[in-house]
Amino acid sequence: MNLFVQLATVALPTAYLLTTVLHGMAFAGDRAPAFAARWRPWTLGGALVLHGAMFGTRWVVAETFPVNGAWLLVSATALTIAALFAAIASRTQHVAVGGIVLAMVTLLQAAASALGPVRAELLPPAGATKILHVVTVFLAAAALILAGLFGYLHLLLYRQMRRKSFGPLYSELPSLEHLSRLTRRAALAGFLFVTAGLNVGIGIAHQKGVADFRYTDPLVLLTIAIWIHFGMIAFSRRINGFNARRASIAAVAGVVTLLITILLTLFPAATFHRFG
Amino acid sequence: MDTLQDLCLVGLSHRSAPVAVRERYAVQPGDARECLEELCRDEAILEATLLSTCNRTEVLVLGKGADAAAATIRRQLFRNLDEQHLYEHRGVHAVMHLFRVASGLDSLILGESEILAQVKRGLETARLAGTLGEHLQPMLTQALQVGKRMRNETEIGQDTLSVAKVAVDIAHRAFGRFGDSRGLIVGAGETGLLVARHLRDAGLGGLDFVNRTADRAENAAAEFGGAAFRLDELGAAVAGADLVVVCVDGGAGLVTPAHFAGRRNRDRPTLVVDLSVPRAVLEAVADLPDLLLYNLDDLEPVVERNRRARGEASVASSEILVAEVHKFLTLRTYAAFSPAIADLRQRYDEVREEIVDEICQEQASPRELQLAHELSKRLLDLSLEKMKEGARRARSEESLDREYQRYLQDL
Repeated sequence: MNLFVQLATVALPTAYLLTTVLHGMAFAGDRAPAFAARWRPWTLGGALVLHGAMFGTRWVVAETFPVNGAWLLVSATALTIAALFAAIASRTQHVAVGGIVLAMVTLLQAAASALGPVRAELLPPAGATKILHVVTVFLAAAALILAGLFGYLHLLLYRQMRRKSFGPLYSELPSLEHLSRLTRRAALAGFLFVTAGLNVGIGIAHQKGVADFRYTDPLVLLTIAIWIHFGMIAFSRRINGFNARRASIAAVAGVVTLLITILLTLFPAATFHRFG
Repeated sequence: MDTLQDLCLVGLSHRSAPVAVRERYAVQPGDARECLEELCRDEAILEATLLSTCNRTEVLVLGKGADAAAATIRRQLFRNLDEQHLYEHRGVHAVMHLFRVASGLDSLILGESEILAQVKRGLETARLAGTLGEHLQPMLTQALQVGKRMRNETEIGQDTLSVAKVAVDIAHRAFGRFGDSRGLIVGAGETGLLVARHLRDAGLGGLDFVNRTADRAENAAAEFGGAAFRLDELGAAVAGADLVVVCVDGGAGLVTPAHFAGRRNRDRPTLVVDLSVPRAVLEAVADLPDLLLYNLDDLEPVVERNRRARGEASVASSEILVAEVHKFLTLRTYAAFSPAIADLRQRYDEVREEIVDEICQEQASPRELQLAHELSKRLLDLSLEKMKEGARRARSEESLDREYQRYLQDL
């Protein structure tokens, strides 16, 4: 079983890269090769199944919920983003977006495969609250990254239209309105998951009496800042002057902050938060 | 047709000049008649017609020598204009150009439908000005027929690729579904109403109108179920609009950044499409935040993409165009033969009468007279048929096709 986990860990970045390239070809419009359209769903589906099977096998070997470290959390986030994109693409037919969203997935999974654990091992049983905390955290991370990506695409398309450039981005991306709707919906989902994850995490810290936990911890403060930030984006329609374009800028800035927070979590200098 | 060599077309269009130049040399509808009359006062010009749209200003004349005619046009209509912005077609190339224009093949948006109405208006104006004669009138009439045929028999006019349609497409890229968007049409003229129809068909939530004359705005608003505003209420009208389409005649600089001051707390950008020549929206408007401004020149890349997509239809249209030019030239040759044919007919009649009188000594029976009539008629028809055949062969479709390829290379 460990052999499969190892092979899957190595193969996943390549699988995601392949489907990214095939989705990116959609930017060529009518000139895109026919095989790209034919193979897109299969490669994405295959990568998702392989990724899911990798986590399933890890669960079997660990005999408990297997996400017990930062890099496995990153991998789970990548899987969630890819699955959410597949769901969105099947409804909206805007496959070219995959060229950018799945590139982020590839990047996250490549980092997780290169730096995370390759072997699966037996783990101490995880409690329900801890599982809930971890699951809400990676769901939140996925939603927030998606919000940032959609925000980025919104800005990209807006810039193209402002420059009067009617290139592939203009032709293949969803409308500005659609992108801003996706940004806000993803931000709302992320906000709700961060709310849940934060509360469950604080509950765990108090319950278990984590010695070095304090609200003034930079990591806790950054997380709270992200929570407020994405909350504002999610409800930006109701805030005067916080229009779609500004919401997109805020979403991109929020994702950059989120990625910094994740990086800080990985440093040994991170104070209270220890995975595992 | 000897007059073909004296045919001359001089003009500028989106192919040769940017909108900033086009708007300086545009002739407003109210001035077209006077312009033509002035042109024909020059002894170098015999007949003239003028086509001035948002994308082109062209004059087609029959002159006493094409050189003198072209010089007159340049002096009267395109004074001080850089030569690089002008084009000139003579003889059969001028006919080809006119037919291409009427077909929408030379339009900014391939196959657009507005041009046919504009050519028709040009014909009417020239007729009213009394500057059309036996040469240009049939040419313009046939140009209109060619335009109609092209749209009926090729795919060029399908999925109407009008300027209005492209404006609607850009709005789609900005707003996605239109149901909750509100549009504002500034200028309730022909183009304004056409755009309004496209927007309504695309499912736009609501449409308001602004016009110089309140009556027209009210009529349009009543037709489309929106509100009507006067021109001095433009700022208030713009404040509630997601999409503003400006199509006014002679309203250079009509829309300024100040008109957008009331546009606060809007979630989406405001899309402004200026279809006017001269441009009615000041360039400074483009610098406003959360606003996308497009004028006719900006639509060119979309048009070019459509043009490429319509390549096959374009091939079919070339065949029709060459056939129509051939038909036109043949008809012109027949027309040139008309006096000779009438003379020939008269001569046949005289000779027949002479022969009948000589042989029958004025005592011919009805049957003999009928026989003589029938014989002379058959002989005359045979002669005319040979003449027509000669006229048809004078310019073969193959040679015209080569000529057309040369014309396209010169574009």
